[in-house]
Amino acid sequence: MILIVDDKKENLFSLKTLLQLNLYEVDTAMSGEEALKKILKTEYELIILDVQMPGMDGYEVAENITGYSKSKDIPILFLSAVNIDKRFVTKGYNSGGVDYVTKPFDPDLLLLKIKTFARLYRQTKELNDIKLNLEKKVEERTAELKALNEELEVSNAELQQYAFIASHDLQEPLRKIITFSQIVKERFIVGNNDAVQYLNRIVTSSERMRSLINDLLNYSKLSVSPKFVVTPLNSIVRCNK
Amino acid sequence: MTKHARFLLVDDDPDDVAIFKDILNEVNPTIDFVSAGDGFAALETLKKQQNSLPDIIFLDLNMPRMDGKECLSQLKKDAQFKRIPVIMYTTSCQSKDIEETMLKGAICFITKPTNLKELKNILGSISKNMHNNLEKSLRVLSDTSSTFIVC
Repeated sequence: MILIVDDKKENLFSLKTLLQLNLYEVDTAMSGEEALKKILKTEYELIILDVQMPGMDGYEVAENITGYSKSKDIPILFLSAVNIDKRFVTKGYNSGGVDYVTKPFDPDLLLLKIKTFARLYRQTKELNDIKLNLEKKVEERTAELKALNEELEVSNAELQQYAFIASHDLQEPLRKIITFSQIVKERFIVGNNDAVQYLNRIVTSSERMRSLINDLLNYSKLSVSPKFVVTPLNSIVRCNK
Repeated sequence: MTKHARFLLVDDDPDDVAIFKDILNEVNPTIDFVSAGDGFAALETLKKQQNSLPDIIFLDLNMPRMDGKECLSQLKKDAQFKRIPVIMYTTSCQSKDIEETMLKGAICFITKPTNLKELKNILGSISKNMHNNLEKSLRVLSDTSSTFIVC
């Protein structure tokens, strides 16, 4: 939708007809104030502003439009019959305009300019929408990840708790097996080498089991980063012989 | 008749009681051994034997009816019993258990040793020094023993 602002009805009519012939939707305003009111309510893709108007002139209107955050990116095209001096053109650009066209204008060229600016504006808007959409998606994914992560941490904490209790309970009977075996070995079978040897094997196996349970417990502590220890491989080989 | 030294072990696990009694007897047969299955039983035993209170009480943590922490509180509330040194003797090695019991007045926290030699060492040292620098010998034990001991 394009907005044309001009205090003269004839100018509005002719430009409006030109644009509508080229399949643009057009809205009109006869003063700066009316234009600003309409801009608050409607989204335009281009605003064509006459510079010479009673009351608010085109420059003032432009400054207001660019000051309002919702409309600050809408391209503004100035139309002027007089004020073709360089400083007026500069003033037009400084007020927020993207082009300054002097009357009489070539309708074909004007149309081409309008097409270009309208298209550029539409593309910018599309890009913005895509950007907002992406940001929203990223936020959603991040929230999902966070929630999953928290669930994971809870489940990990529960696992650690369970592993700790399980290993503690498993160590208990083992401790007794080892202790009683040692008592029997020292007191009741002195001299019986075979018995002593077998009891030694019982104790060795039980201590191995203790160490395995301890390792299991340590491994389950996933939140603790594993510390690497210099390990002499020879002793491991000897141990397993 | 010379009064024999006496140890009280409060523990609901019959295996641990048997081991303790056995090793204590091996290390120092002159010491009397008494046991109770939980806090309640311990207090009742003490009340019945006011003339021959134990020299040291070994206290487990996890017991039915009245657990170790509750029993410790009760012991320290009683005018007579509070003078008896209490050593925690348990399978736990958790810092919150250590903190709580030390704050309530236990003089030492020993995690039940997993090997025989350690147990003999501990009981031997305690029985030798119970009337004479017990705390110092417990500290020495905590440095040299592989069992978790905090004094």
